[in-house]
This record gives sequence, structure tokens and C-alpha cells, in this order.
Amino acid sequence: MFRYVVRRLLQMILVFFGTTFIVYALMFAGRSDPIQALAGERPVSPQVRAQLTEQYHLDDPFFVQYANYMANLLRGDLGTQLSGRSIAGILQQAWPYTIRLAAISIVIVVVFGITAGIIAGIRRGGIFDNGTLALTLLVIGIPVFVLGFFAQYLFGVRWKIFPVTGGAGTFYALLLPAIVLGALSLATAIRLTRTSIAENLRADYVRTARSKGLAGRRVVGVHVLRNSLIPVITFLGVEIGNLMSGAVVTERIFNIPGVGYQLYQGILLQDGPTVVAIVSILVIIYLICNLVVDILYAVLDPRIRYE
Amino acid sequence: MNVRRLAAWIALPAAVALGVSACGGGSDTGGGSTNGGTVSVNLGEPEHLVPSNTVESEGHQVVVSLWTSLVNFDGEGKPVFDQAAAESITSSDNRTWTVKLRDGMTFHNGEKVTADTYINTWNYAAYGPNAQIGTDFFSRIEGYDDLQTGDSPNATPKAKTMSGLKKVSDTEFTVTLSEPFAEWVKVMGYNVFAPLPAAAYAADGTLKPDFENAPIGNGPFKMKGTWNHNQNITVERYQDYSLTKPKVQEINYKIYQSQETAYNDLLAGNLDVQRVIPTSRLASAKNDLGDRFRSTPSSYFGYITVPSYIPAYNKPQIRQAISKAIDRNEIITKIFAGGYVEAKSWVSPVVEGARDDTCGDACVFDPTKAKELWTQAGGVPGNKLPLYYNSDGGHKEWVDAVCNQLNKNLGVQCVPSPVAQFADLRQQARAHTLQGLLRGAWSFDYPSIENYLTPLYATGAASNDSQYSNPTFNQTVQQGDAAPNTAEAIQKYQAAEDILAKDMPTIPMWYRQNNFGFSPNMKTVDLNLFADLDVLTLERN
Repeated sequence: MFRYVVRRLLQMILVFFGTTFIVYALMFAGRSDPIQALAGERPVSPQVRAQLTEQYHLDDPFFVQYANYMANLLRGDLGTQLSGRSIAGILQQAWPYTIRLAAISIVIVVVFGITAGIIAGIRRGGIFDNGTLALTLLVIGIPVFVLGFFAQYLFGVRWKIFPVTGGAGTFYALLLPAIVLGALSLATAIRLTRTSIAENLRADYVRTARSKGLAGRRVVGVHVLRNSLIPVITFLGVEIGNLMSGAVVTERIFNIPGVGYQLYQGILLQDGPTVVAIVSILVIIYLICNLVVDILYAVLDPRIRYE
Repeated sequence: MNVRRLAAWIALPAAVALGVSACGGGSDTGGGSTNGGTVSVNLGEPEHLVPSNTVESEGHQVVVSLWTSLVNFDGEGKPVFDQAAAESITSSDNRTWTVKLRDGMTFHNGEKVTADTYINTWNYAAYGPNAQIGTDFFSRIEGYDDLQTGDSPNATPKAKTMSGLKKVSDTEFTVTLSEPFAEWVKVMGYNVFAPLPAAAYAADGTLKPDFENAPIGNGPFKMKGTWNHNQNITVERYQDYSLTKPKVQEINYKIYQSQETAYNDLLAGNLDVQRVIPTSRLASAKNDLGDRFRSTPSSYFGYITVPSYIPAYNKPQIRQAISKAIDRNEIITKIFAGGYVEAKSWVSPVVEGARDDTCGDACVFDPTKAKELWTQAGGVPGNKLPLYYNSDGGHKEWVDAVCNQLNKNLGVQCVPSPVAQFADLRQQARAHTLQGLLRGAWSFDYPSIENYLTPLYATGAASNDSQYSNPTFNQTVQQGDAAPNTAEAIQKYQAAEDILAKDMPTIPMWYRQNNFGFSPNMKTVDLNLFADLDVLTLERN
């Protein structure tokens, strides 16, 4: 187990360097004129352009820029934006919002997704099952920005149940954005749990457990659930990363000054260092989540072992 | 593992998440009602808050709250000194200007505003290595070139101070320009000329990096706390302000990522003023807000550039034909939901000397006549007419509409040609490599008719995308610059505009309106010439 974890961690270093390189290269290739962004649609004088290009090393060749960036990164220096603000400071401010948002989302997904999935799975073909089927299909079909604006208008502007924006950062302010953010995952989690439970309920070991005279609650709660949760856990592990990066759209709609917003701005202003910094952290989160999921397999299913 | 342990696996992250979310910072809503109360206004995250480094609209809105400009403008765009930092600005030859400052103005930290403050600030702003975005505004001052690094950014400029700035007394100084310029007073009305206190500079003469987190100005409002990046900037009334004090105690600039969200917040009653209503909501805004929706003219002039560097396009008939084949009003109603007005001249109606209709017959929609002119002039090679635009600015809809009209009315093949980014498009436009029409737009740098002429149509000018060159035009504009008084200057500039009407290097399309709205809490909300919210007249019920 220990050796397995170490091996995975070493692999992560390689993946980390690979992704930063790719993202940096993409940003570099797509960059035309980040200085223009500082002046809106007004012309920038060639003097100022030359000066800023020099200050931020914008005309150095790709590998020089990348090497400089990585050298600074390894020293813990994420660099500065063209407006002069330190990227580390920006991220420090932004991450708590996104982490909070994603955390609330994932709780909603886990609690409501698995519960509803279990009920639907047990009472297959019932009203609840058909109801959730229709509802989840609907949610999966609607793009998140439509859902976001719709929810914002209905709950925020029309009925005034939730604040329109989540910028305050409180649990209450973030609840609606978190529901919107988690809606797709929630729907998928319900479908996944339901299918998995329904399938396992017909398995031989369930019949055995029932014929042993075990209570229905124990049969479902221990025997079925534990086996049924393996695909769901895999899904949720990947989904944590998705929720953090998926916040780009949700954060914009609900005006939450988190990482998604910074990422969006970074791409818009062609600010390579910010984008690479954020994406690198997202990659690390993905990798760690994946590792945790793989380890969880062994907990859920003792048949799975790591040498 | 039994049920309880499994529950723990699920419950643990849940507990962590709730714990994390519980420690979110609390925030206030609404405003204290003491002394005029608080007004919340939407804003986008500014790039900078140092006046000489701020030319984009979001930062500028904050700058006009914190700084008082040297010159103000009345309803007709004429410079006035009421409520301005200068008492008078005069010149006998339009070259050497004497600025008399109002006595008794102080910065928010108590420091006196003197002639030296202005001279030091302007030298800082013009000094090449400081790379201030607004540095171009100083380029008419004598000695500006000595402060530049030229082609090598690492070089040290010849001088650190402009020879054109001379102190007379603590409240008076002179500005000498390298060439006479009749409209110079109007240039100085822009806030890149605002002064910085001595407290802003570090020992080596550069600005302290944290200065713009809590800028200190000489204006009606001072910072309350610091720039809360991506969240808000709050300013409060400056108690020792020597001119008329503002009517509200506090302005809370709430930073929004999307204007649609800000609009929803306005509808829900969480926002008092929205400075720009997004085009997507214009159609419903009149219904939603009633008379709290306002529309005023702005300096934004939208046009289509016709290349003079391609012979087939360098004919007045071709240009008139294109102009007459476009039904501007249909596009304005259907696509802009009335957020623009038709342009029949080359100068926005907000500046002094602008006239309503200088284009005449050439801007009247008449498809039959258009087709006639087009055929007479021989059309364009291959009957193909590309129309270039940047796809990152929301131009696709109207460009497609214009092309459809041209296809229908001229029987030409108009091709909407998107370039991914504005910066790319500008680069190609500057290089004059685009083989067709080009969408363009211009907002003034300073509220003068001259600013709609020289930068766009003078031979070799930076934004002369058409590569238009007419010696008579250049000469007429120069005569205006050197005219002894404003009235004569404007006459010359108007004559220059008439030349444009004949040659049509650009086809006027429309002027953008400032579309803004406010909540029932507000009594007075006005925008100034620069489309900034007027912080002095702002008043709550």
C-alpha cells in the first residue's frame, strides 16, 4: 500500500510538469497582445508598449519564458499580473470562495444524490423512481449557464428567497450557486446509484443474505450499498475536480470572486502566468482526488489489493 | 466495515465542508442613512487606480470620485471652472498656458495641492520608464520627447523633467506646448492630469506599490479602507473638501463580473445604480425600470472604415453606395434595442462644435440609388466585399445584418470576416493588410471635435486605418490647432469635417447611448461627458 502511494506520488510530479508545459504553451501560442487589455479599446502608444513588453519579458522566446516561469514557480513565486498584482495574493483571496462553493456542492451531491438514488433503486418502477428519472433527465439536458440564470432570476429576483449574488461568501449566499454548480453531478449521482443498487439487489449474495433471515435494512445498508458505491465513489472523486473548474460559469453568474473568475479573466486578458498557476493547482487537486478514490476502493471492497 | 464506519466516510467530508463554509466573512447590505446615506454602484474590476495609468472606464469611475479635475464641462461640452481644481487656464498664443490653481485645496492626507504637485506628477506620468498607459496625453508638452526611451526600452531618457512646465508661484504654473493647440484646455479636463501627493512616491521617485490599494487624491471622496479586489471599493465624503461637498456620504462600488448579474441585482433592489445596462437586457429595461431607465448621448462613434490603399475602394461613389445601402435604423431597433442612435456625421453630439447632419444625402438609406452608384463606379474586384470585425466584442450580429443588407441591396457578396481578438484586428488594421471593410469605433480622449479628426484621418495618424491622406484636410486641421480662439478653431475643424463628408474614408454608422438605470432609492443620477457617474450630483431620496 505504502509503495503504491509513493509510486503514484512520483507519477504525479511528471503529470504536473507535463500539464504546466502544455497549458503554458497553449497560452503562449494564443497570446497576441496582453498590453491592449490594460487600455480597453483605446490605442496604446508604442513607447508604453515597448516599456511594458520589456518589463514583463513578453518578447523573450517561449523556452526562456517557460524556464523563467518554472524556476520562479519552484521557488514558490507565482509571478505578477500585468496590472502589477501578485498572483499568489490573488489566489490566496480566491481559493477560499471556490473551495467553500465546491464543498457545499459536493455535500449536496453526496447527501441528496445517494439518498435519492437508493430510494429510487429500491422502489424501482415506482412514482419516486419515475419522477427522479424525468427530473434528472431534464437537469442533465439543460446547460449550466441557462440553469444558473434561470435559478438566479426565479429565486433571487422574482421570489427573493436567495441573494442574487454569492459574493458575500456566507453559507446562505453560496447555497443557490452551489446547487446550480452541483445540479449536473447530483443528477448523474442519482442515476448511477439507482442503477447500481437495482442491479445488486438481484445478485446472488443478496438472495443469500435474505434467506439467512437478515433484516431488509441490513441487507441494503451493508451488503448492497457497499458494493453499489464503488462506481459512485469513482464518479464523485473525479467530480470534485470538475466542480472546482466548473465554477468558471457559476461564479461568473453569481458574482463570486473565486478561482473560476480569475481563470476566466486570465484567459480573457491573455494572462499566461495566472492561468497556468490556477490550472496547475486544479491538476494537483484532480490527481489527489484520484489517488484517494483508488485507495477508497480497497476500503469498500476487501478483494481489491495494492501490492 | 459496518454501516457506521461507512457513514463516517461520508459524514466526514460533509462536516468539513460545512465547517469551511461557516467561516465565510459576513457582509453588509444597504447603507447607513446618516448624512445622505450610501449609494451602491456597479463596477468592473479596475486595472489600476493611479490617474495617469487609468484610461479604461472602470478605473476612471473611481478616479473621478477620488480626484477633482482641472477643468469641468457644461452641458454643451464647453470647458468651465466651476467646481474645478483650477481657477482659470488662459493663454494668449495657444502655446503657453497659465494654470491658476484654486487656493486651499488639500489631499485626503492633509497635504496641500500646489503647482509643484502638478509638475511632479506630470513629469512622473510622462517619464518613459514609468510606462504609464496615459502618457500620450502629455506628448504635446514641450520636452516630452526627452523623457522617452526611444526604441530601446533599457535606455535612460535624456531628462527627468519636461522643459515646458514652469512654476510661477505656489498656485500658478505655466505649460508650454511644442506646437500651438487651441483646444488644450479640454485635454486637461481628463483625469490623467490629476495630481499625486508626495506620500505616493517611494524614496527612488517611483510610486509605492501599495499606493493604489488606498489612493490619496484631492477629490470630493476619499477611500474608506482599501481596494477590496474583485469585491468592492468604498469611498466616503472628504470632510475637508474645499469646494461643494457631495450629497451622499458614501459610494460603494460593487465589483461585478457580468453586467447581467448586476442588472438582476438592480431589479432585486440590492444595487442602486447600474452605469451600463447590458444590450441583452435593453429591450426589457424600459418595462422593468420605467423612468428609472435613462439614455443619454455618449462620445462613442461607430463607423466602417473603407480602405484607401485599395484602388477599387478609393472612390467616393463606392463609399456612398455602401453607405446608402445600409439601413442603420433597422439594425439599431432590431439588434441594439434602441441602445444606439443613427450617425449622420463624424463627430459625437456631446462635444462642442458637433453638427447633426454633415453627411447629407450619402447617409440616407436608398437602395435603388445605392445600386446605381455601385454599378456606375464599377463595384469591387471579384464582387466580394469582406467586412472585418473582432469576434470578442459582441459585433457579430450587426456585422451579419450589415452584410445581409449589402448583399441584398448591392448584389455584392459581403463576407463577415471575424478576427478572434480585438488586439489582433488592431494589429492588422495598423499594418493596412486587411483587404476590405473594417468595423471601427472611437470614443474621445478629450472632449474636442479635433479628437475625432486628427487621430483618425490625418496622414500617417495612429488610428488612420483607411490610410486616408488629403493634404487639404491636414492643412485645415492644423489651421484650427493654431487658431487664435476657440470659435475660429471650431470653424476650421468643421471645415475639415466637411472634407471627410466628400471623401468618406469612413462610413458613419451610429453613436452609442449611455444606457443606465437606478433603483427607486435614488433621486438624482447623472453621467458626465466622459460617461462617468457624476459623483457630485448623485443624491438619494
